[in-house]
Amino acid sequence: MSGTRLSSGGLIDRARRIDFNFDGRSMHGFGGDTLASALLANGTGIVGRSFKYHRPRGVWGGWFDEPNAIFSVRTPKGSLPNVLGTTTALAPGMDIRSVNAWPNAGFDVKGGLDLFSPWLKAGFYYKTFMKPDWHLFEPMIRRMAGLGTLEPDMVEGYTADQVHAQCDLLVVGGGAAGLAAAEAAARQGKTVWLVEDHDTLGGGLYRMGDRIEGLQPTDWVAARKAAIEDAGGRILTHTTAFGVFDHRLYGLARQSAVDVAPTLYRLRAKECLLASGAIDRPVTFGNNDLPGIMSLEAGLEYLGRYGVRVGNAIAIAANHAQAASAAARLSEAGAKVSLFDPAKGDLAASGRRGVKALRQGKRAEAVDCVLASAGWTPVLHLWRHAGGKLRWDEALATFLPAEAPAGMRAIGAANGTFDLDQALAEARAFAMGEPYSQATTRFTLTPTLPKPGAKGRQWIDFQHDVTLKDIELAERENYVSVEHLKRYTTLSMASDQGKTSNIPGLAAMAALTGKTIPEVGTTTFRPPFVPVPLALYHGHHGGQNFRPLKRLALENVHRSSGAALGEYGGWLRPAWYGDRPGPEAAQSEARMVRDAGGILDASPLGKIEVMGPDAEAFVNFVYYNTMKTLKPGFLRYGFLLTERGVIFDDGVVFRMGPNRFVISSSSSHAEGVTGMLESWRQDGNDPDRIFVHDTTNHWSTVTVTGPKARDVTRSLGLDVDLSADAFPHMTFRETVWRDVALRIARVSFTGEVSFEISVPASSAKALWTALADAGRPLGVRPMGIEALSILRAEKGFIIIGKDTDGETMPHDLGFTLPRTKKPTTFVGDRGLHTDAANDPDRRQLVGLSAIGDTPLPTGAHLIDGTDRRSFGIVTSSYMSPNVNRPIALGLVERGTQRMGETVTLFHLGQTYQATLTSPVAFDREGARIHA
Amino acid sequence: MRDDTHKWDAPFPASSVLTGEVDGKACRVSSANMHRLTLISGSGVQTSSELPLIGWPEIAPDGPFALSLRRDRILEVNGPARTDGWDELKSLAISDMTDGYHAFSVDGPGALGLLHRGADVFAETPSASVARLIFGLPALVYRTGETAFSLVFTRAQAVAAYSALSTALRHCAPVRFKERP
Repeated sequence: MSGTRLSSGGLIDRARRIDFNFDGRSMHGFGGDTLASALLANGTGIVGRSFKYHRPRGVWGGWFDEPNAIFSVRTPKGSLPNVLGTTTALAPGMDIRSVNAWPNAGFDVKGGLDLFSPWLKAGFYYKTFMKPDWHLFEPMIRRMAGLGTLEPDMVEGYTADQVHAQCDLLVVGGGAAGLAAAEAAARQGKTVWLVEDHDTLGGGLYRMGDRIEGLQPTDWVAARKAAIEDAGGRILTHTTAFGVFDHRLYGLARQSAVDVAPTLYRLRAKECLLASGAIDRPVTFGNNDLPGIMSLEAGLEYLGRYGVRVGNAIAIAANHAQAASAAARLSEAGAKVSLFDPAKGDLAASGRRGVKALRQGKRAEAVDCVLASAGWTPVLHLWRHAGGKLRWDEALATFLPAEAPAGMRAIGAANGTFDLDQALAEARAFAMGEPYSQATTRFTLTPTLPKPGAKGRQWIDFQHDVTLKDIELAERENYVSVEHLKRYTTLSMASDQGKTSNIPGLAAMAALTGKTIPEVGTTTFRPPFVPVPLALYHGHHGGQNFRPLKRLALENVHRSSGAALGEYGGWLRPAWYGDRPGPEAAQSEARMVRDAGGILDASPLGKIEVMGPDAEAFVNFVYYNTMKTLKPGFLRYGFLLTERGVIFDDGVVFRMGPNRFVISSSSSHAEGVTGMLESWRQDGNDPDRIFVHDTTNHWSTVTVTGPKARDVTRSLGLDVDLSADAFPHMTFRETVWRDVALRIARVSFTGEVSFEISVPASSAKALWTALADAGRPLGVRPMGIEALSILRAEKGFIIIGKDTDGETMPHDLGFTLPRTKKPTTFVGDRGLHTDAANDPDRRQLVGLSAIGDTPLPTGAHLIDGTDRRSFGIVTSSYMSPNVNRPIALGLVERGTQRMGETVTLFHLGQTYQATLTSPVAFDREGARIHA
Repeated sequence: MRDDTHKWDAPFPASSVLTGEVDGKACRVSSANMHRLTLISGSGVQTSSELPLIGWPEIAPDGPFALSLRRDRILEVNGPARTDGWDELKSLAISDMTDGYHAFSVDGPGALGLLHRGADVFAETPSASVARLIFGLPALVYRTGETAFSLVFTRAQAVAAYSALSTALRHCAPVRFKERP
């Protein structure tokens, strides 16, 4: 192949020279070049190696249909893998490296693999490496596979901007049809977006260079561009519409420089005109993968856009009328051109590192380039994303748009309208909503499809080395479904996603099975239409912006108090305080609470208000426990169940008045419980008589717990009698403190006397400070969640989701009465009376006392001695500083009947011994909680 | 058991102001002060409120107003003091939420452009509700001027919202469109 830069022509800026390297060689191009056009202009024939056989590969396409020219690119900002050479603009200082080749594409030591190709057919891996074990071979195969690699100097700060937008009309494609349509629609006053993936408008107009509506292509394009913008239309070049999603959402990727992440536009367009054009289909013939064989369209593109003549002696192998005019165009550019009609006989190319000759029967032409076209394939990926149907057109030998998806129409070549004048008329009519009857096309071709049984190696998928023989093999082995064919041979699974290989592959299978191509069908078209970086999707949602945690009003106070913060149920909360190691600090804080007391930020506890005339009946209905007997000023612990009867959440219910309750859900479930309540409120209840407000964010809650909790709380000077008799466990009071509302409840998760004090969040700091100041001289200091976890486990108090699983029901935890006695129905009622709920082997909550001084591993399985069947699991395990031994909770089959039994546990290869006990390890009488 | 303190920035100071350019237009983000927020629900709440009811894209007045959240729910902003609980007379559920939200004021010619980094909100698409997702976070989004917006997040998510706004402002691509005549 002898690509040559012409002294004139093209859209490039010859005044702007750009120096770059390719595989260690210095080259130069010009402003407006792509990597591929610059390489072709420098006479580069081999740009890469195929995936499987490491065959030498040259540039095939002129744009997104390129399967071969994939590079690693290093810029001053860093390196990027798998850059498509035909769509990437050349920039100064680029160091371009071929991929899947060592030391380079020109000489690749793995090129010898091609000698073994007779034994490496489709399915080779599946058949050969099954025995003795696939995993023995997998590492080696994985090392050999793949294209580019991530380098250590990967571009930093590669973060995509993301923008939401909307418009009346989106025109995809800035070729002649797209420009004409956008102009017509914009003049009508519609908000129009026109997106074009090249950095210049005009589509295929520059290939032949013919005048359009009396103007040179550049002048005609400039006039349309000005008209669109003057009418308020927006034009985004270098922007690819890569996908259509629900509710007419279009994904647009706008590229600026290769080392800058593209911008994602999430565009909602009421209507879309698809003017995405058509691409050349390869002609399938012997050795059709040699460097120097490329699409006819690409050869003309490189000439028209970049002033590059792709060969000196060019053979055109095309089956349609454009071949003659293309030959004339290339001859004018100085090439010696010969024409071959593939329909007149089998073609075969010869050469080793590039095409040297093309033969047809007895005719042979010495060439350095073959431009092939078996017809045009409309680019209809977005059409299919949107749900549009396709129909096979025998005359054009391709799929064309059939039943349109809502809000989308295809125009121009994408609609099979290959005549320019007809495409313009069609585009303008569709844009203005006027009727248009498609005229008879002047574009004719002789269908040229792969012929099974032909001699020689004929490539169907260039990147993945799928040959016609591979399709034949798949058919023989009954992989005739198009989806099976794809997966068995990897046809169309390369990075070009079958843009060049799909129709030849389908046609081959159709010929082999005696079916029509529509009967063979197509595989599913899925976004993205072209590869887009993952950075496009996540945008700036990385680091702290990825799944951000909820933050406490008191976070700064905790930080200044030396808290170690961690995630607990979606909140960033103090795990412990001080500089000590976490386990040591947690033990110390847990001991402190039992000895004196602790102060805990319990703000994430849910505060979900349920109000209205039917609030009482509703709360009684959604809770497992009876709530209608709850009196104002009192609290009650209870479970919310799923309809299956499985525990969804636990918590306490405050009765504020006859028509008002506050549900204090667990900390991580406030939003889930609110959603559940909203759901039931609207299902089977009168939603105008029940209202649910999640007020969790308005309140901050500080819990004072321990023997000295009352003394500390008393320091607030509340007008509430805090004595045990006047203010017993599971009651609450409402009052005012420093002119703000204050709610104080006697409820405990530690087993100690506790006061849970809630104030509006803006007063939280004052409350915390007052309590901390009062507690300090009494030895009552802040405590973190880790200490709380130990304390509640000592008391056998569960954490939903930790000590329960997706099967746990209330009676598994010992809460049996409502199941049999509650007179009114409740959510989960029926689920609690199923066979599964009555299974005598259900897992029940137990305590485990480890034999020895080592705590049991959380997650350890209780196993029987014979087949290691798991009959239980450790859900929580700690060293208790207050009972001075390891404690644990677990769910065990028939656990309550096995108290005292010694069991064996297994975890990560280790075995342990433990005795099943009551879950309550500390203060079994509960004296402290009522003190 | 892990100390992840260093992974999370400390909450932003209430006085902090973000400034930058979006699509070449100036934009400013600051915390907004709302001295009373009251969440009210009831089947007739949309018609019974005496305050101007603000949906999208109405511009909120300087004085008290009510944000329309859904057919049976509003959020009164700087409205009259009300007693929490069930109002038997008016059949309304009332909750003080003054400390439950944090509001950001986003203003300047580039304000709408910044909103478009995180939300599918357009002046041309009206909505009876100001409830939205912005940067994936639930929020109330309403206009306070021609190029001024208020974004109201739950208090616990204000830090996440601030981080999302500041990151988006930093990564805004320099895109310029020609304005419609």
